[in-house]
Amino acid sequence: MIEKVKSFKGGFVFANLQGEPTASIDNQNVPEEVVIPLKQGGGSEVKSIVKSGETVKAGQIIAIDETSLSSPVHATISGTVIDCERNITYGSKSSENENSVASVVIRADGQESFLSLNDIIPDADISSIEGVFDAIYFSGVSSLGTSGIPTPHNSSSINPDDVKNIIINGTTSEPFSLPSDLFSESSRLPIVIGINILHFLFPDAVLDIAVDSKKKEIMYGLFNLLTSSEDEIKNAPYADKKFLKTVLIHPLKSKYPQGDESLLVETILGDIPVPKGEFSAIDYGALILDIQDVIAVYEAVIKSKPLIGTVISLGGPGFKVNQGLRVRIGTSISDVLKDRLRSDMKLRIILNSVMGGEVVENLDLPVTSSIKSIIAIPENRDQEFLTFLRPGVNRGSFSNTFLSSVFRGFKRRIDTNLHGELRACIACNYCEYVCPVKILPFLISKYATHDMAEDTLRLNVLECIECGLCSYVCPSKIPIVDHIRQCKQELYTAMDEEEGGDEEDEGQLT
Amino acid sequence: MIAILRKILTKTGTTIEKSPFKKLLKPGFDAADSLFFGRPDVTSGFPHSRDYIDIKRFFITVVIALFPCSVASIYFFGWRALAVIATSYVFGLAAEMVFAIVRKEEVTEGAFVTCMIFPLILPPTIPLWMVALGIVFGIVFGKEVFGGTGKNIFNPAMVGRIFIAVTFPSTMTTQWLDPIEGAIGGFASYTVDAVTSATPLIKYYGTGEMAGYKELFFGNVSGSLGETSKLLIIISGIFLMATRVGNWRIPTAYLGSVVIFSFIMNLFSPGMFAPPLFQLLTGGLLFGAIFMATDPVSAAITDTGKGVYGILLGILTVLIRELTGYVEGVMFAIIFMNIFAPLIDEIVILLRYKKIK
Ligand code: SF4
Ligand code: SF4
Repeated sequence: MIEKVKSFKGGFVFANLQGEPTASIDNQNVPEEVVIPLKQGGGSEVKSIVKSGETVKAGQIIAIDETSLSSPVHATISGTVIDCERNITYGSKSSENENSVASVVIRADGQESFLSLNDIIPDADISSIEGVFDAIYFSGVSSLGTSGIPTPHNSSSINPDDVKNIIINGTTSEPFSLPSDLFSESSRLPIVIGINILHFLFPDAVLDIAVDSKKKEIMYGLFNLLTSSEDEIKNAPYADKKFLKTVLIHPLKSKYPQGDESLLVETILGDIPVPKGEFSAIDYGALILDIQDVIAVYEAVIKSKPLIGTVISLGGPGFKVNQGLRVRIGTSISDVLKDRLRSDMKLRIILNSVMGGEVVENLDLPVTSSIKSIIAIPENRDQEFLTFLRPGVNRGSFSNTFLSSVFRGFKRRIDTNLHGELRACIACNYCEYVCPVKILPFLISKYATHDMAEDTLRLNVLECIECGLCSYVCPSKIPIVDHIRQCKQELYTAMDEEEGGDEEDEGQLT
Repeated sequence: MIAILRKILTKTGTTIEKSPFKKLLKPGFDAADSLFFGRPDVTSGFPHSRDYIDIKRFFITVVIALFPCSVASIYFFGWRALAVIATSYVFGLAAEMVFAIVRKEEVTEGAFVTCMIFPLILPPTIPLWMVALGIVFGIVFGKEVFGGTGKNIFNPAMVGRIFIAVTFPSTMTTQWLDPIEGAIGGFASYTVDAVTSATPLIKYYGTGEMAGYKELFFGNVSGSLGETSKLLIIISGIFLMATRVGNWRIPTAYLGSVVIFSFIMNLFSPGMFAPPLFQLLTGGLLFGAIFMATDPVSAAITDTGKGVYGILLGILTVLIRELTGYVEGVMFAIIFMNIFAPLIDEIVILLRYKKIK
C-alpha cells in the first residue's frame, strides 16, 4: 500500500546541485592491492585467521569471531597476504575521533573470479531459516545496514527475534547520494526476492519502504511490483504473496536529514523515545537497510555471493564524471580517485556527507562497505568582487534572496567557502526553522559561548542529531553545531562524573 | 576596473600593515576589503559547505526594500529628502567607524540599515544638523554602548528618533509639509514651500477630521519622509517576507492585533478610538511594523516569542495613540516592548520546555 506523503518539521532540500551523480554505474578494475580492515560496519574488530605469505581466494573468510559482536571478513581479491597486522588510522588527529584498525593487506594475482558461498559453507541448506541466516552471516552481508543485520551468530546488538520493524530506506535526501532510479528496472526481481528473504528470516517484523515522494515512477513501480500477479514474482523464491501486499510504501519528502535513523523511524513509525541525539534504531527493534543492502541479501542467499564489493557514489563538481562506482572492498581511495578528479581546482575530499562527513586526509585508506559516497568539492578561497550583490541564479540558499529561488532550473554551486564573515547572531531564526528536532540552536550556541553548558540541558540540547543544518544556514556564519557538540560533551562528562561519584558512595556503604 | 580596485586595495593593505597607524586604519580597510571582495575563509570541520547568504546580503536586502520608500520621499518632498538620507549615512557610518577603531573590531553591517531607516521616519522639515545629531546618538547610545550589533537592546534608529523628539519637540510635532503633487512631483524641486499642516493623525485627534483613505493609501498626505505611501511600504514588506529576510510573524501579529483591538475599542467608544483602517493607514504604523518592530536583534528572538511580541505591540500602540498626548504611539510602543522582549522569550522557553525535566 502507498501511504500519504510524510515528512518532519524543519530540514532543508538540497536540490539541483552541481555534481549530482547520474543513475549509471561504472566498474572499477580489480586493484593490485587491497587493504581490508578487520572490522565491518558497526561491529568490533576480529582477529585474522590468515598468515603473511598465505595465498587466498577472493571470497575466502580471513577473519571471523562468533564470540564478539562482529561479522566475518572476506578476502576481496585473490592473491597473497603480504601483511596481516597493518594498522590503518581513520579520522584525523585534529578531530578527536581518531581510531585505528588492524587490517590485512593482499597483493593481487590478477584473477577476477571469487569463491562462491557454497565453497565456504558447503552443507548450507538455504531452505531452512538457519541455513539462510548462515548464508547471510558467512557471506558478510550481516555487517550491512546502520548497525548490522541480526543473526544467531552475534552479528548485531539484538537477537533476530527482537526485530519488530524493517525499514528499507530508498530516500536520497543526503546531497550526492546515488539516485534511487538506479535500482529500478534491472533490479526489480532481486529487490522482491530480497524482501521475501527478509520476511522469511523475520516473519513477525513489519516491513516498510521509504521512497522519495517526488519519484513517482519508482514509487508506483515498486507498488506494482509488490502487488503484481506475474508468475515471476508469484513464484519467486521465498515468496509469500500475502505478505508482499502488506508491505507499506512511504513517500517521504526528500528533505535533508530524512535519512537520519531517528527521523526515519519517527516519520514512519511515529513517536520514539527521547533524546533523539542518542536514538539507536536497532535497539528500538527497527532494522534499517538501504536498497543496495537488500540486493546484497539476495545475492548472498540466491547467488551465493560473498560480500566483496560495494557501490559508492562519486559526487561533487570535483569529479569529471559523476556516477556510481562498483569497487572491491579494500581498494584504496586514491585508486578510486585516480584520473577521475578534475585537476584544474583544489579539492576537498569528503566521505559520505557534505554536512557531517570526514575529510579524507590520507588517500591510502581503503573503501569499506560503510562508505556510501566520496565527495569532492572545490576548496574555494577566491575573493569575488562584490560577492554579496550577485544575482545568484546558481547559488542555493535557505533565504530567498537569490534569483535561484525564482529560476529553479540552474545547477547550484557548492564549495567550501564560508560565503561571508563571522558576525554576532542577529536572531533571524533560520536555525530554528531548519532544525529537524525543534530545539533552539541559536540560544544553545549563545549559552555555550558564555560557558553555561549545564543550562542547555533544559533547552533539550541532547535531542540534537548533529545534522549540521543550523551552521549551514546561519547568515552570521556562527559554527553553531560545534558549540552544540561542545555542550553535549561537557554534559556527558558531567553526567559520567556524577555516576562515577554514585558508585563510589555505594562502595563506601558496603 | 575590478583588477585595478583589487590592486589598490592590496597595496593599501600592505601599506597599512607597515604604517604606525595600523590600529587606526585597519578596521576601515578590512571593511572596505571585505565589502568589495568578500573573504577567502573556508569552512573548518562540519558542515563542509555553507549557505550563500551572509550578513551583508541580509542587510542589503533590507536597504533594497527601503528603496521605493526613499524614492517616494523625494517625489513627495523634493530633493532635500536625499540630502537628509545622505547626511544620515555620512554621520552614521562615521560613528560606526570610530567605535570599530576604539574596539578594534570590524565595522558591522547593521549600520547600513539603521542609517537608511532613520531619515525616513523624520519629518521633511528636519534641519540637517539634527539628522546628524540624531543618527550619531542613535548609533552610540542605541547600539554601541551595549556592545554593537547583536547585543543592542533597543532599535538604534528608534533611539535616535526619540532623542530628537524629546529634545526638539516642536520640530517633531508641529512642522509638517503637504506633499508635492503632479506627475514629476518633487523631482523638480529641492524642497516644498513650507506649508505647515498637521499630519492626518494629529488632525484626527485635534478636530476629529479624517483624511481620505485613498490619499492615505497612496501617500499624498503630510507625514514623515518615508512613511506616507502605504502602498509602497506594503509592497516592500511583501518583498522582505518573501525573501525570508523580514520576519512575517511580527508584522502580521502587530497589524492584526491593532485591527482587532481598535475594532473592539471603536465599538465601545467611537469618539476616542479611531476605526481600524484609519489606524492602519496613518502615522508610522505600517512602516514601523514592517521595518522597525522586526529589527532582528531588539525584538523577541524565539519564533513564538515574536508572535506574542507583535500582539502586545499592537495593543500598546493603540493605547498610547488614544490615551496619551503622543499620537505617534508606534515609536514608544516599540521601544517599550524592546525592554520586555527578553522576558517574553524567557516565558516562551519556560512553557515550551516545561514538560521535560
Ligand atoms: S541543533 Fe542539531 S539537530 Fe538542530 S539543526 Fe543544529 S545540528 Fe541539526
Ligand atoms: S541562523 Fe545564525 S544569526 Fe540566525 S538566529 Fe541562528 S544563530 Fe542567529
